[in-house]
Amino acid sequence: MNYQKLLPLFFVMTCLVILTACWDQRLLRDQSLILAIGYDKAENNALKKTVTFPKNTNAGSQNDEQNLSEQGSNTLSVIGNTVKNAENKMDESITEKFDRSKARVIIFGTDLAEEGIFSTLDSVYRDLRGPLHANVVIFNGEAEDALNIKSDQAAITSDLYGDLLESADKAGITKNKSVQHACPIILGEGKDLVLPYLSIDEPKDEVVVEGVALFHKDKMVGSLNIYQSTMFLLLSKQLAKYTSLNFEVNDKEKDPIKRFVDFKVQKNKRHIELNTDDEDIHAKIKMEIDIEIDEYAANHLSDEKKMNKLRRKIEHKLNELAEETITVTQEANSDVLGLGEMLKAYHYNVWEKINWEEVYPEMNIDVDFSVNIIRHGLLN
Amino acid sequence: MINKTEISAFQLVFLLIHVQIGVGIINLPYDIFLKANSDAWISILLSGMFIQLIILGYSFLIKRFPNYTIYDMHLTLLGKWIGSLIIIVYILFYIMSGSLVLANFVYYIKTWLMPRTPSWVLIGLMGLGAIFILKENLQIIARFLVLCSVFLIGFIVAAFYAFKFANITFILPVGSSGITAITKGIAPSFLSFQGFEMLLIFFPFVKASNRTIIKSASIANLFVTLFYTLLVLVSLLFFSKDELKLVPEPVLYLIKAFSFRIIERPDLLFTSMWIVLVATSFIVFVYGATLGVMTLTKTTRLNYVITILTVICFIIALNIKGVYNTSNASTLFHMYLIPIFIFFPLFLLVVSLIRRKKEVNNE
Repeated sequence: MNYQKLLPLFFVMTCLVILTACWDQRLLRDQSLILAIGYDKAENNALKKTVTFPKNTNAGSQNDEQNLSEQGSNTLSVIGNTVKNAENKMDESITEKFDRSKARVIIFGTDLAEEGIFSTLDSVYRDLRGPLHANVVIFNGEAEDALNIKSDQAAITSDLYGDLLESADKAGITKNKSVQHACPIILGEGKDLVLPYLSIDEPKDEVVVEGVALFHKDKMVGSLNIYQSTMFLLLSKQLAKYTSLNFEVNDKEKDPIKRFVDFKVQKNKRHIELNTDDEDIHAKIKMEIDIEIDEYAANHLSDEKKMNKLRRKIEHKLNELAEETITVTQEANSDVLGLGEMLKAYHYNVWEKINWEEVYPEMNIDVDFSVNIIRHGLLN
Repeated sequence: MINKTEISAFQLVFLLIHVQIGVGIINLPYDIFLKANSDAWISILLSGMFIQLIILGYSFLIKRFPNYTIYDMHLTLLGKWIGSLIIIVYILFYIMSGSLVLANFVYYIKTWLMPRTPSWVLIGLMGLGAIFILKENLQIIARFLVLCSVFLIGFIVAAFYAFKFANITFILPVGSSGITAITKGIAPSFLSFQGFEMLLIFFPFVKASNRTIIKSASIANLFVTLFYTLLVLVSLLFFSKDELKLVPEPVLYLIKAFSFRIIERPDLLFTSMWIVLVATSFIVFVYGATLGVMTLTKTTRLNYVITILTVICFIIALNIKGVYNTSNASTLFHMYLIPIFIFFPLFLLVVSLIRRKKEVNNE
């Protein structure tokens, strides 16, 4: 290969080096990273956007350790017509440009969530740097208050929410949904969205998980409490790492602790039967779960008879809770289990004839749990 | 016959794969979905079979003229005037193909990667890279394409990873969109196979028997069909129906939705891989046009022809701006497809049968 042949290569290489990101560079020092965003309904159909970002403790100063201790977050609320409009207004009031691409959580106030969340999220889906992985959360109250909370648990507000959601997800109380995961469910037919539902515990001024918020299309229509939401996760086969349940099984026992049993769910199997033979559609959900007893102060699990009795009691309690949970979702008309989706996939001719939104709240859904105690810890 | 350089049947497979798989792969599922709904993947499979039939049809031409490119065939069979006219149509077709590849490339890069970088820089860089490779002979181009196939693996792996999030109920029940919808979906999927007809341009350069050539083309077609089916299927399973209507580039959007511990935005990585696939199809299109020009003008100055053609593509691509403009240009271009794919080759075959003309074997 002679020199002449190398010339174009040289030229291209030079171009590559010189031109890289000339126009599209975004320097960190010009941006202020937003880590949590809150949306609320404001007066006159406007939108209130609240953001929290780490305090700018003069980046690049020598004493990093001192910086760390002074860390905290600023919050800023702006009212605009749309999300982007509010964002532009924010830029007017702050020296740096806001960059939301690293946001961890997006919080909706209940008022806004009840009116629909999809149009607010539109700009996230449209933006090439939109924070698609941010978790969407509904807050009982105003998202602004949620972001203004001062907590000792985490230095930065966004971390507080991020960590809280993660631990709730692992404990099987809620299921985190990112902006991206929410989209197919909101837009799809025959399945409704469920998002974590948070609130502030007034006396202690701490953020707590209330359960999950139920949606119909993109509007919030109700909520499940913590027990119901755990049951919902079991029923929808989204078993978390440490799903545990607590039931009162011996109500005649004097010692209050002995009344309860606490167990972890190790494995769950689900079988759904949709019966469409006769006029009204009904569903039968058969659940098979393996559990491990964590705490049972009444003891005597070596006796098979007693063990079976306990097993039946747990089954009974589970069925009760499941029924309660499903009734709540039916009253809210939120098909969180995706039964409509199944009907559409496996009984398409039936699906075409009916209006699922009218059928779901009325239909019969039976749940039948069968429990298998596979371990009971170190004690009998 | 212009160049005596020869490529192997193995390289022909990759040549055909790379010219077909290009700029369109990121929006292919969307285009077909609009027509065929949740059965888009069936449309792709059907068009793959259809293309296979056409390839088998080509084998008759290949048998009759084992050493002629399709340009030579036109000149010999149809005479100087008509033959030249049709060759010009071919040249325009490939220039248009190349320009559309560049225009689409810039459009997607600007929406996905670099919104503020001016178009001429992006197209210019692509053009320069193409000229650099095109100056070499076919053998080196083919070797380059074989190397580039690594990037296809990236897409296949990503597609299989996406099955983790698949929701099977999105495509069930199979066939729910009906036969008419599936047939309508064949048209847009047919377009995505554009490039297989270049078999008729490249086969004389292949050092293999006619049977092997057809076999290689079939293997390439099989690969492309399965690759497309995979992409379409994964997009259908990942996005719900109404969501897919809103996402014109489902393949990139799907990858954007993933996040790994090390790579936070894998879509950037995949866009870079995709750029290589775009470059390969652009290169082969320009090469196809170049061979046409060289047959027509009997010139041997390859470098001039290549540079001029690339500059023409550059200028046309710069003038196709915005999403609506691009789709208008594409519709115009689509009208050429059927003549180039089927009509011209069929016409040649009929003429050669009537005139009982075969290649004069002067070796």
